[in-house]
Order: sequence, then C-alpha cells, then structure tokens
Amino acid sequence: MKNQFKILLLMLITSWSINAQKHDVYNMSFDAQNIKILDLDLDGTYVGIEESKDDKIYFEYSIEFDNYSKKEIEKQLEGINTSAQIVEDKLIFKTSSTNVLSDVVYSIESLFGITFEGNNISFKEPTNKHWRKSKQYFYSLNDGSKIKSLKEYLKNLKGLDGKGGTKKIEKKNVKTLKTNFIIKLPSDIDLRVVAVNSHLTFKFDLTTQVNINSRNTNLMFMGITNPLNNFDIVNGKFKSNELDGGAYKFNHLSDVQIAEVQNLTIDSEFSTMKIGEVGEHVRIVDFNGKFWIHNFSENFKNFQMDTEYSEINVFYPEDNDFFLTTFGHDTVHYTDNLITKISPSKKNESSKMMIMGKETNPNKIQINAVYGIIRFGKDFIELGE
Amino acid sequence: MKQDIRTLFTEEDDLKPLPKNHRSEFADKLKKQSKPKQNPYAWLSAAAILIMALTIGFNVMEMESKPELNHVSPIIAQVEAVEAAYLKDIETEWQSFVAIADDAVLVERFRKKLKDLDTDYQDISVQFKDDSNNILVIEALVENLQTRLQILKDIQKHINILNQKNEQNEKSI
Repeated sequence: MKNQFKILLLMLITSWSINAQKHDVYNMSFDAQNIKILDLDLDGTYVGIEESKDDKIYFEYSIEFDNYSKKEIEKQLEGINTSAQIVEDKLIFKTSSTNVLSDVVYSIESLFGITFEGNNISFKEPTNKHWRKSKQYFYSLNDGSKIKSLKEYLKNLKGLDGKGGTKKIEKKNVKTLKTNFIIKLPSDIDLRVVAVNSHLTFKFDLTTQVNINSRNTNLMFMGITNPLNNFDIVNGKFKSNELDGGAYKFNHLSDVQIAEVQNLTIDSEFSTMKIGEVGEHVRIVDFNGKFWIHNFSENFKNFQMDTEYSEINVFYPEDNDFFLTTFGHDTVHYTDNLITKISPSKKNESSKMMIMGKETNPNKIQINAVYGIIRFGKDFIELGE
Repeated sequence: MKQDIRTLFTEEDDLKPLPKNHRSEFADKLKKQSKPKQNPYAWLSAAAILIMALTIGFNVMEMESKPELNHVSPIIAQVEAVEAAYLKDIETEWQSFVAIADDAVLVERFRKKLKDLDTDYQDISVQFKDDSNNILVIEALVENLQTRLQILKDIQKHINILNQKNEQNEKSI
C-alpha cells in the first residue's frame, strides 16, 4: 500500500514538471562600479526590486507557464521586449509587454463560461464607523504582496454547464502564468522610473534619490528617505511604510496608504489617502481628496493642509498637547457629536473657523479648508450617512 | 486566453469603502439579485460581470471552433452596449452636477478631469481592439467608466452636505 502511494506521488510530481515550463525572458548582470543612476522604463510588467549584496545590478526575468501550448507560450514571449544599455554613468533598462502581466494570471477554460458563486464570497458589511488605527497596522498592510492560491480562486468560481446549472472547474482546465521578475541593485544607486500599467514592489529601504513618474501603476515600498525625491503618480495605488522628505504628487489614486510621513509635501487631487502617523513638517495641498489621518508623532511640530472641496478625517493627537486651527469658509465641521457649518463670506474670503488647544503648544495643526468637510474623532469617526 | 482572476477579490475590504470597489459591488449586486430594491447602476455592474463571463466562454468556443470571424465579436458588442449605457448615466450626472454647482472653477476642473479620463479610455480602447479577450483590459474599461460616474456622484454628495446647514459661528474648545 505504501509503495502504491509513493508511485502515485511520483506520478503527480512528474506530471507537474512536464506541464509547468519556466522560460527566461531576460537574465543579465552589470558591474555597478561606474553606474550612479538606474533608469527604468517599464510598460505592462510586474517587478520586485531588491538590494544586491555585491556591486552589481541584476535583472532576473522569467515566466512560468502551466497548461499553455507551445504556440501560446511563444506568442506571450514574443510580446515582451527588453533592452539595457549603459550611457555614461547611467544604466537604462526598458521592458514592455503587449499583454499586461501580473504576479499570477489564471486563465480558465470553460465551454459555456463561468459564474461567481456569490455565497462563497464574504465581504464585510459596510460600516459608517471608522476606528483609529495604529501605524503598525499600516506596516502590516504594506509588507509584501499576498498571492491567492488557485484553490482560493476556484472556491468562488464555477463553470456553466450550458443547461442552466453550474459545475466545478477542474484544475486541468486552468492555465497559470507566473511572472518572476526581480531587479537587484546596490543601495547607493539613484533611481529614475517611468512606469505604465505596471506593478512595482520595492523590498528594501530606499535612501538614495528616487524620481518616479507613473501612470496606471501600483507601487509598494518599504521606507523612502531623501529630501530630493520627486514622485508624480497618476492613477493606480501607492503603499509605503515610511516616507521621509521629498515632494509627492498624487493624481487620482484610488488607494494611498502610508504608515508614517515626515518632512515632505504632498500635492494631491481626486485621491483617497490614509496616513498612519504624521511626523515633523508635513504639508498637504489637495483638491477634492479624501483623507484619514490616524495619529501624530510625539513632536510633530507643524502639520498644514490647504484644501478645496476635500473631505478630511482627523483623529486627535493622543498623549501630546496640540494647537489646532481651521481656517477657510463654507466648510462643515463634525466634532464628536457637534456639527458646525461656517458659511461663505460675502466676498468669499477665508477666516478663522475653529480653534482647539492653547496657542502656546509646540505642536500645531492648521487646516485651511474651502468648501470642505472636516471630521474630528478620538477613537472613531462616524460618517453619518 | 488569459484573465487576471487574482485581481478580482484582493482588496482589503475593511479599508476600502465598498461603493468605490467595483469588484465588491459586482459581487454584492449578484448576491442581492432577488431583492426588490436595487441600486440604479446595479445592472451596469451585472452587465460588466456578464461580459467577463462571456469573455471566457466565448474565447474557449472560439479556440475550439477556430472559425474565421468576419463579424463583430459579441464581446466587443457587449462592451459597446455597456459603454453607451454608462456614458448616458455619466451625462445625466454631469447635468445634475452642473445644476447644483455654484462654482465655475469647480465645474471647469471636473470638466478637465472627465476629459483626462476619456483620453485614458481611448487609450485602453486601442488595447481592447488588439486584445478583446483580455480580462484586465475589459476591467480597466469598466473601471474608467465607473470612476467618472463615481466622482460626479461624490462631488454632488459633498455639495449637498455643504448646503444642508447655513449657520455661521466660530467655535473654541
């Protein structure tokens, strides 16, 4: 009986190795001794960026195919173009894919289509009550990416049988495309990135100068520290642990989550932003954004927001004194259970709207809000509608 | 054929407001299909799901039969139908927004934003013509349309909150 089991196991392993095929897209390393800048031009790719342990820059790009025909694999690979060249002190790397790649792409074959099994999808009920969260909460969210197993996906999907019913999707009818793309670079190299329709996960703290210009791209970072950093992000998502220094422009990001911010300016519009903790010298200029400010560091010194048509939700600083003023007009304040509306002045001029704390307190919060909605809360903020 | 099933249900549901999460909306609407009261835009979400399901089914049938197709793909026709319906609703919301917005600068900014989103949509449409079975591209198209509708609904809600109360005072704590 034991032998039979072993034979079966061996067959399964053999079967997997026959079906799964790994294909190298680009494997190259460059001596980084004379390279100061890595210039990445990415279109339709999914890449992890790590620190190299020697003085070299590595590109390790491969794709694993499971259940794909030879022709389908060739077509996929032909659609990917990569190149690299050194120009003076700069290494320029370009890659583009005709099909947008992700970490894992499952393709399901079902003659009559598929359907979602609603009962198996458990979404949490929407709530109007939002609780204060610690900055550690945001760290845990931003650490690594979560890849769902095939089993998890199939739990929510069923194939249609063409007779009005559903049937289980067999694993043999699922094609899997797994992108393994890692770039490794020494931590003292500056980065310039232009990314479109991509996903970038940085797996080490960046302290050199980083300039990123992206569109329709998801970005995940550990720490980013440099006063000269410049980010211009349009559409997509942005997650990071610490952001220290630099200028950040977020235009229409559906999800910005940052555990800690300090010494920086954020210029945003049409974006939703959650910040775990505000540190020293932070200024935000916003149009029509939604903000959740959960905590303030012990000595945040000054925090300023200049906003128009924005929705600002702030949890009071805990365990430290602060002086808060709101300035502007035509703005609604929700303070615990109190609603205060400051109407527009005749000349649409701004004026002081609300004061909290003593002016002598060293930590100052100033919110300049025109046509805004500001909510303050201690432990939770209730949206009310 | 490929589709990014991974992206369908990967959001941190507790952090993301459901109305903005179209995938959650899709599933939610499906779950509530039998209930009498529906969001006026629920059918659009359902239609988008149908397109995705059809994409898979059609693609497989296409692979099996390998016919030379000289007619418009059903997927393209479906997407065009959904697009037309969304654009009609977006126009309705736009007119409603313009009617309540008492700020020409605001209206202009939204006009520009919608124009930018439309430019993005045209770019994605080019990808869609090249690869009409790609679920990621179809999702991107639907997301773009939903975004336009959502920002118009959100700003109207914002303006309505501002217009609810009209008392001036200064408060010190």
